[in-house]
Amino acid sequence: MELSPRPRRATTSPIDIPGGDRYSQIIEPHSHSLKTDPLSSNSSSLVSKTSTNLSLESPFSSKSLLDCPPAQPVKDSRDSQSNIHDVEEETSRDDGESVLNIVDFPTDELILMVSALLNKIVKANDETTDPSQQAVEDGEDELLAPVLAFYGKNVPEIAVVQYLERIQKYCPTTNDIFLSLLVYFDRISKNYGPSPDRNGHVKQIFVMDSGNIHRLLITGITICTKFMSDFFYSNSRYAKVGGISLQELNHLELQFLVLCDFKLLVSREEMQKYADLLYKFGNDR
Amino acid sequence: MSSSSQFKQLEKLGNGTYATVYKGLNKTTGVYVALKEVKLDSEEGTPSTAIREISLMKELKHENIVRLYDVIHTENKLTLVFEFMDNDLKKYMDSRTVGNTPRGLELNLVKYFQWQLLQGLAFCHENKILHRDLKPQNLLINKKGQLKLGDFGLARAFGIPVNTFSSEVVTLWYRAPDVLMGSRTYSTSIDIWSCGCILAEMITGKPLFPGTNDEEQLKLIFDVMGTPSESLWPTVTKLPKYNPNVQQRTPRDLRQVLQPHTKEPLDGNLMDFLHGLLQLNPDMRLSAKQALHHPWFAEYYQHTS
Repeated sequence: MELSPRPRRATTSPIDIPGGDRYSQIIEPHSHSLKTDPLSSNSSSLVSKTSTNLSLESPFSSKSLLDCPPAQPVKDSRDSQSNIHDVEEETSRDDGESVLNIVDFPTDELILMVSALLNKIVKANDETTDPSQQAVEDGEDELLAPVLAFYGKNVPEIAVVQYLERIQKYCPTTNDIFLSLLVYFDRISKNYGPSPDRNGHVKQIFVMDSGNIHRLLITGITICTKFMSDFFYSNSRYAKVGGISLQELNHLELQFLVLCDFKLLVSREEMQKYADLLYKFGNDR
Repeated sequence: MSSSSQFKQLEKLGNGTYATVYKGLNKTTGVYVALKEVKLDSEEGTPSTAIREISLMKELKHENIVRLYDVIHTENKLTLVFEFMDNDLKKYMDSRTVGNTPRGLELNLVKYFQWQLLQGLAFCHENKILHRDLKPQNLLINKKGQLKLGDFGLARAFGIPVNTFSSEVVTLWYRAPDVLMGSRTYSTSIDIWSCGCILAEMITGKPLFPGTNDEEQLKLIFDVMGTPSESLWPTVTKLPKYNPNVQQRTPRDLRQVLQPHTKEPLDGNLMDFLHGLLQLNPDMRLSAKQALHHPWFAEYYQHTS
């Protein structure tokens, strides 16, 4: 009996990836460390930060995608409705001019736009660390574990744009993958959204910042390509290109799936919405 | 989220392509389940088949699609908790073989299974998901006569026409001629061809086109359906593996091919329906939704609508 073929692009030739054998230097620089071990006391910064993310729907997000204001207080959730509305109206009004063709748009340009957007979000989140943060409560550890997994010992020095260009060079992929990443980051922000701690302070649990963005990107691209495309590389190649060990990537892959609640399907409409928002952001820059 | 301690692992049901399946008992509810254990590979991490199956089946809730209840994860293993089904269509058909002679199913049952297959498939296609591995082994049945689509490990979303479709999909015997000739721009019609092959197999008890390689597979198809012509399939000559030197064949009467293998007479509606699924030109094949409205199913849709 014929076995079902399982599509996969095998890595044929030995991989020649500059820096691949020195992977620890790509995102684990030996220079000054901005963050200590995320599982130590510093981890509290994660939960105390208000966040800037991409969401079209969550309150402190949709606006931020376009205007990128300093992150707004999380408690203002009642303002959210009007925000969603505003953004939706804005985008529908601009529909005629701001439509990005997902199939034909040049991927190198899309990468520049995605990087610029992520940089803004990361920068805003890095700046808004709440100094009066509380230590992480023990009871939250299970919920926090997949979030904390994406922090290394040091903040990677490589810029987001260079990191994405490096991945695209050695593990080339298509626009739909990068756009899906934005959708996933938003879903995670919602799944790990504001929740009250023991003192009643409402805090965003998942926040994208310079400490986790690289690992989120390489893991997200690995998973998303395996899910959406019939052609993908081995995890060992993604790990080498991304500058983390294979073991860590395998671990992060599972954590990422948990963060997304294993829901990776992105409808065409949803992807187009993000594509158009990204395009508008790129043009407004 | 369930924990593994909630389930009692019973006998092994089978070895899948990337997983082992056990029967399980939910200790709290007393309900039987199928536990699909996926080993996480050190080179590959989580298999793409598992990522696809979980993500897609989480979205597909339909009575003709096997329900994924839950996912239990540990550091080196994923366990997918599925609705329990008694059998699959392949094993069921095999069990009816007398001596060495395969026997088809009663046409009433064939129709009921085909109806359910197309209901499940129409739901996938409405949700912009291609199954890409429809075959009797992946159609699960239970004692109530229900049929459900399973194994979504090769499935994928469509809708964005990106250039990342592979023609190395679908088990050979059920693979459409356009895909055999290297098409990478296929869509829902890829699953419809498989449905046609499955229908013929249910009638006769034997696979319709049991090829051993791509070339032989195409030959078996052309021997029955005729060689494709540009007049009926204008783009066929542009397919990557189109062979202009293939021996020309005229279509045979499908009824004459199938009738010797079944005692029940094959009526015109059934043959017209089967022809609608087994069109060489993918654009000419019925959609799942159209198929459900074919006169062969009149007794069903007159009751449901």
